[in-house]
Amino acid sequence: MEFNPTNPLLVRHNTSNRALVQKYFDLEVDFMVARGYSEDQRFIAIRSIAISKIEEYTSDQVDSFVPFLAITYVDRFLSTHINIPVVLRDKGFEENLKLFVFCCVSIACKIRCSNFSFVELWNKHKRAEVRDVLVMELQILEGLEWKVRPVTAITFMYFFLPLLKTEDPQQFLPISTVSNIIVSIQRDVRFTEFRPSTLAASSILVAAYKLLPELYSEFSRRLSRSGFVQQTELEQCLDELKEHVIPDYILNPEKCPVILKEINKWGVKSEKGKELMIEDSSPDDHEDTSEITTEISKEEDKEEMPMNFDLNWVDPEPRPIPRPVKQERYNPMQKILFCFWPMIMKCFGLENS
Amino acid sequence: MEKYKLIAKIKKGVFQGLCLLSSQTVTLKQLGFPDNEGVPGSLIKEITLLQAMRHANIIRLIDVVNHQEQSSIVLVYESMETNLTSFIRIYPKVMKIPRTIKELLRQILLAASYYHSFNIVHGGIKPANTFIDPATNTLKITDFVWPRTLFNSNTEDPNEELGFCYKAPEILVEHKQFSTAIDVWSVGCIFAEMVTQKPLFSATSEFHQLAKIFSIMGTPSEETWPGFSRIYRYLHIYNHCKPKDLRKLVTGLEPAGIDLLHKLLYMDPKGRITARQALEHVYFQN
Repeated sequence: MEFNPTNPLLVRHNTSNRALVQKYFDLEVDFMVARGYSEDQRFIAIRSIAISKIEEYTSDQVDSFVPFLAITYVDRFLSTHINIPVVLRDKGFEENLKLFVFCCVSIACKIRCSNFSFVELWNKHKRAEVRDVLVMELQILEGLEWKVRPVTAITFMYFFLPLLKTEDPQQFLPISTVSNIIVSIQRDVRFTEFRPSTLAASSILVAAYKLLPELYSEFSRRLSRSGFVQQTELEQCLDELKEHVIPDYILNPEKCPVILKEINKWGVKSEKGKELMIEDSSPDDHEDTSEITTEISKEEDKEEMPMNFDLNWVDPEPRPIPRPVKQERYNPMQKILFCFWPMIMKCFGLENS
Repeated sequence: MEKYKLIAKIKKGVFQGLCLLSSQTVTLKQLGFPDNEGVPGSLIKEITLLQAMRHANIIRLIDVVNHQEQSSIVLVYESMETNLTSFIRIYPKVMKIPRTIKELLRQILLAASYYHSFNIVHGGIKPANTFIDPATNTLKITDFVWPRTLFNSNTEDPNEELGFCYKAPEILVEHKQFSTAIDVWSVGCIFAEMVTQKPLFSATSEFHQLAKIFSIMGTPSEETWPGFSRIYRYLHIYNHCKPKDLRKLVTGLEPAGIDLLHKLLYMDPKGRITARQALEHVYFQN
């Protein structure tokens, strides 16, 4: 079976095995940044450069999970090691930072894509010799204790959404919508302090508030009842989402044309210069959301919106196991021989067993 | 690497060592990398997978140590000295005890059931990577060839890794979609080998291996494996064989064990028993 990065423990998305799921939730603290990271002024500039570089290196990615994952590596590494590894000894900090970011991206690609071509990425953004890349990757992996499975808000989203199924098939939260919110809020370093599961639950509730307001309370209750949500933290995160990030990164069409297309389909309207709170949207604004498609448009002001990744979310589906591409096992002569094999055996009075 | 002291070389790239912090004996496996792709993605996935797995019957990955002067890493596993092949050779009398076989089989199935619950296919269960602690008869599986061989066509030939004797027929015919059932087949092969102390399907090539399987389990037909003739276009070169009586080939195994063996070695992977179902088989109930 294929390793599905959006589901790190590869358990099926249900809660029938509660002990297993609980173990999975218990893991998340190991995949968070060290405490105090979001308030440490030393990392703000580095993080900002890293995000813009990640955007550059992943501009042709199919989905936004690779940059999303790469940023989690940058955050976790910086929060515990303070200094980035120096592999290019004859080069300055900037070149080493670029290599560091490049390697975070390459590791994320390797985790995400089974058919990832390192050579292609390397040729396109040639940052150093492959051997230097290897050494940098090893240092990053060691620094992260090889914990590079995607235990992220996206993963937890896949756990939570099935808990919110309703009898009406029209009433569902599109994965793309929730994941867009999660990806968008990643830019704000304050959200690194929250558990990935809290971020997932909060983003789901924000999406529910907009798309299915009549079910918001029910969804909130179900998430709380699941026992997997830290209620106090969820409320704090929701407060942050409502007050700060939603207006900046999702609900402002001037700044984010990519997300605008999604948001406009939700029926959320905003006025230029006015921050739109979640509460500002009324249920009447909603349109049909069952067929949200993601269209990509180019970001014009890259400096202002370094997180403008392509949001072509692909829902994971069961896929057949890829087999190694092997050479033909039998050469043409052998194939011909096989065709006439029974005749040959008969001629010689032999049988295979 | 200062945490570990090398004690002895087991084979190329594999050493027995001692953890200086815990005084625990460990197995150190040094891995180098190809110089064209950084750290292979398959290896990263494999290590993250091993880190995730916690089961009494799966060898635990204790640590991963960078060995940067040589651009390599060292995987530190808990140490297990005796694999099943050696165990059968060293303790043939112990392996004659039905209870021992039953207990070892149960442990293999427990491990398989565990990682199958995560939709993970081991892909290479064989006696050589099934280790036993003779003191406690605890069995542990190691060397997940997944995902290395399933994802990366540039690495070593999976045929070499798997060994012919334990490969499921759907792999031998290169069926495009295979599943956890390939592990169940391998477990069946090991089960028979534990009883007879020799491989059930011993062959020298894939062609011969398939012929061997057909000769014992019967050549697949539309009844026994619907659609097989479409999957494998060389079927016509094999003689039509009827299934042999496993009771005569795997002598000494109780009837419930024979029934379980039949189900583990069911030709059509769709009809093959799962590891979890096998654990509930009547064979384990007495």
